[in-house]
Amino acid sequence: MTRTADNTGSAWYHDEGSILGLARRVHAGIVVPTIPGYEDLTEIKRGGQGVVFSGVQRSTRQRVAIKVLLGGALASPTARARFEREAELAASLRHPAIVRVYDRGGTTDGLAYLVMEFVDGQPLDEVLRATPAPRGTSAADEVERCRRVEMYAGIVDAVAHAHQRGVIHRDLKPSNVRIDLAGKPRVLDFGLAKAHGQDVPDVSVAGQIFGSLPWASPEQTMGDPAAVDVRSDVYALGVMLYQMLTGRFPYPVEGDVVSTIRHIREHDPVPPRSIAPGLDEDLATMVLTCLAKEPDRRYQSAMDLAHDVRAWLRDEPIRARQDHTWYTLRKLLKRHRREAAAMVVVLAVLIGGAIWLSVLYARATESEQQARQSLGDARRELDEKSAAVGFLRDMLASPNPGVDGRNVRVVDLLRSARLRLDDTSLSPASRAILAAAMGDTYIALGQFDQAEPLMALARDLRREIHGPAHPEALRALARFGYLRCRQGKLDEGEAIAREASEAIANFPLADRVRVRANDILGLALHYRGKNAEAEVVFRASMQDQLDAQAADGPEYEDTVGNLAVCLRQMERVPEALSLYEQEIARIDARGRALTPGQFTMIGNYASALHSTGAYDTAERMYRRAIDGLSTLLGDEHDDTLSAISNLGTLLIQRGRFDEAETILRRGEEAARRTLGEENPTSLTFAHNLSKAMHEVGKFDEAERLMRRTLDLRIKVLTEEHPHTLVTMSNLAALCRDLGRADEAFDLDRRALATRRRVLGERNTGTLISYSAVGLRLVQTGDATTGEAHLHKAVETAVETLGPDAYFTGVFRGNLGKGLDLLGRPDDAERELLECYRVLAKTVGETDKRTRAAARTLETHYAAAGQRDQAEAWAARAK
Amino acid sequence: MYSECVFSQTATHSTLLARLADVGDFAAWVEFKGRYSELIRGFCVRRGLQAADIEDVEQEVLLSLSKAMGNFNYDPGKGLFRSYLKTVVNNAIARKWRQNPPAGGLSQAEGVGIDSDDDPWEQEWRQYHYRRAMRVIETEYAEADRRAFAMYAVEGRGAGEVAKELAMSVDAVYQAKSRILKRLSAIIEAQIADEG
Repeated sequence: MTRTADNTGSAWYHDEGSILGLARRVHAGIVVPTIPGYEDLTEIKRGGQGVVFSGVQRSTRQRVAIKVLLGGALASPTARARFEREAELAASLRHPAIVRVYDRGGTTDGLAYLVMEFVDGQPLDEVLRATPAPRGTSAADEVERCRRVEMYAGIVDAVAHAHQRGVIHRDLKPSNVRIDLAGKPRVLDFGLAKAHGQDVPDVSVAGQIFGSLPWASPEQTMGDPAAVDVRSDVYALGVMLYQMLTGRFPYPVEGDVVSTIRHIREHDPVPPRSIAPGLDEDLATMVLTCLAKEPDRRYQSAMDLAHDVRAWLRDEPIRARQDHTWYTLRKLLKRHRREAAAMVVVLAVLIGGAIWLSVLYARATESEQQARQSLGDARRELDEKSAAVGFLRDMLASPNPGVDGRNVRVVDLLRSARLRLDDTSLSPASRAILAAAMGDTYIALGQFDQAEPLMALARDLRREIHGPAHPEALRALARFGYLRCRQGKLDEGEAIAREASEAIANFPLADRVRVRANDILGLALHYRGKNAEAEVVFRASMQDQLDAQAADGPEYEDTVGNLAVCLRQMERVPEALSLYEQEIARIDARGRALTPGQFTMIGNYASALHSTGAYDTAERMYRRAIDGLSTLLGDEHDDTLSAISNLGTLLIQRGRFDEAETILRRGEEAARRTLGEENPTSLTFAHNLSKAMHEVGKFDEAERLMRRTLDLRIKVLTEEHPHTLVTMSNLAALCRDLGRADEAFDLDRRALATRRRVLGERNTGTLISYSAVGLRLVQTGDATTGEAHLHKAVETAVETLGPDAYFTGVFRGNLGKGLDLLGRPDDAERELLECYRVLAKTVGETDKRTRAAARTLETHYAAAGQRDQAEAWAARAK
Repeated sequence: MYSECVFSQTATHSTLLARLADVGDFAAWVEFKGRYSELIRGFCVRRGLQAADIEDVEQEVLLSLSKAMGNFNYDPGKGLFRSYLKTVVNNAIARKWRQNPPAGGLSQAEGVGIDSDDDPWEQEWRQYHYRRAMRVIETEYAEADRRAFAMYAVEGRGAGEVAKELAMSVDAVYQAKSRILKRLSAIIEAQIADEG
């Protein structure tokens, strides 16, 4: 050690270059282990216990987290057995709030590793830090407190589940809980402390704040592993609840280890209500019961704690205080008074979390408006919705046997929800709301046949409850008609929607139900392809709402949004754009947080801009829509996925393949998770993603994904579907780049034959196949047919797309290459130059594809012996 | 919410060493283990030790330290503790090698270094401080700032590109870099001062 290190000014850590060098080395020089069956390992976290990598499981392409434990887990036969046993137990846990352990083993370096489910999200400590602790009694604090307790309830449930199966966590703390993108808690590292032989708290560096010490129970600080049991976890849960409610630790932990341990063992916690006066006695009692020094005085298991947390959320008496009669009485009173408020809070909590509650979101807004009209009605409605929301919450929270944690797909949830629709304890109105919500969800998923019985049930229930002429019954009828349209039964659908719309015309001006029924008629017409008639309906509805001065409601926006969609489909894009711009300006001017429907409108606006080539604005709007929708509805929602998909396509068109790959990967994962691998939307993502991978040079990965996508598209969509043919054609292009020309040729010929038959001779896809097949024919000696194909592609494209279109340019490039091979350099030169001109104009001079065209010119001139020209083009190719 | 407890320095090192002299002092032991196990283990990995041996080395180092406490002449501010720890760790590793000669290469190939000092202990020690400091940064800076730092300063991507990807201004990218670098420097300085 030659350094006299710590002389201020000269020390390495005062030199930015040294720190950056270190940073690069730490990030680059990490020893990435080789783990059979997994690839693409990249470090995401390094902690006291080990290093966490993200990776991809080769067989399923599933993203996973791999934790490599540093040091002794496998050091001795005893240690190895312990690791095996604990890891086995942890792997047996199946709970939606527990991060799954899929696999375990030893690396080639002899380090133990665990393969876990990858949870996209943030650690709980970061989530908590993002908002101030709810210490007071303001409405905002109440909402935040409820949100946190709701989150906490999920954590406690997870721990209770593990306790019931004999697994003690031993190292619970906020950084071991991740909050996923849907806002749900996911507990990590069950049994790991034991598996790793760490029976004592890991007191680590300041950066991990304080290692695990502040959450350690008094018995854990004695260093006696035998004294640790489920009640030690209860203690840690107490510290966490204390933090979540007050933003502090129950005792000072800033000092040294000795004094912290002394506090844990000897000092009573600071009363939580002295820090957070807004806390009610129940919560304070729950926290302090967890934090009792003697394990016998705590909750005896996480199940008991879970019971009280749930009771608190329902405003029911908690067990920890049940001995007081006066308390139970007061509780009952309070419960009655707070009913409606609690409902709204629960609703708010759920909206952040669940995917398909957007439907209820709209309903809540409607309820608000209704309250203004008639308090009694609104109250009844609220009660109905409260029951419905409770039902949904139970359903989302209940572990579904056979379906594991995060992999629960919306369709699975829906399936289990349907079984419970027959629950007779629900009122008919609640069942109608649920049936319609589930039906809407199935429609959004494109599963119309599943939606049908639900929509029919909603219609019948509404008819029973209100009578056939009631607006609610008519709306349910109209929705049924809409479903018929989506099912392709267009005549019937239109007739039903029309019937509903006409029956409802007698109701007062711009009644919200009437507006909805008219909109549904408009949509039915739109799906019918009668966009001009739909336009009339939507415009009348807009006028209706303007006359009634109801133009600031969500209905009006929907009407405008739907009209814009119709206009766009009639190629009246500028009109659609101006509608969008007006409406979005209005929404922004209000300065309120946007609803999911408004973000969807922004996404549609982006898509209209996209079609006009206004890429910059389109990209910005897509991103805005994606941010909003993924926050409000999650990545898995249909609308989020559409926006992500469109943005990915846009980025590919602009040649920004790296970015496209990133965003498409996100969408592909979300789609596969929610919709399953064979869903057409998932397949579109997989297709685009594989294309992006191809373009960034990840050939192997691209090929695997593209082949799988092609197989699935043939299976799901048939070989004649235009999308299947695009994948086939792209796979051919990939094979060409991989030097497997014969295989590419086979695929291209197959695509060409089907495209000619299905899509006709003038379709751009058909022309792409003509061009590719033509070039290969010339290369293999069939000059006549080959040249004819190449010419056909160019000439037809000039007519259908215009002389300056991107594909026209590409076809000219292929023709030029063919002519060179045929020994006609003058003709070739003309085509190649024209190709370059068009590409430079459409995608820009610096685009990879344009540079490839320059390279072809370089080769052309080099072959012709025109050295200067060749050099000039070589420069452009760089 | 944890603003009141972000990164506070713990007891000065001379007290920690004194406490280590009492082998029964659980608190001192966990503190030492918590602080230095990553450094010791990291260094062992760098020297090509197998996992099975790493824990032994760590235990042995701890024991040597506590035995030596009685006559250790600790002089704060001279970096002596670091050299002493290095000696103890190297001795423990050497003993391991004698018992159990390593198969294959001893260490992983290093990337192109910027540091002039290629002593592996020095490197591990600096990286250890960098990683510790980065964990503090993780608690103090928003994810966007940290990503901007990683992409722009560490990965060397263009500021404009990073700004676009993170939807922040180019200025914010520059600021994230300079603020985090400055903070890293201060944290590492404090860590080293604490270590003595």
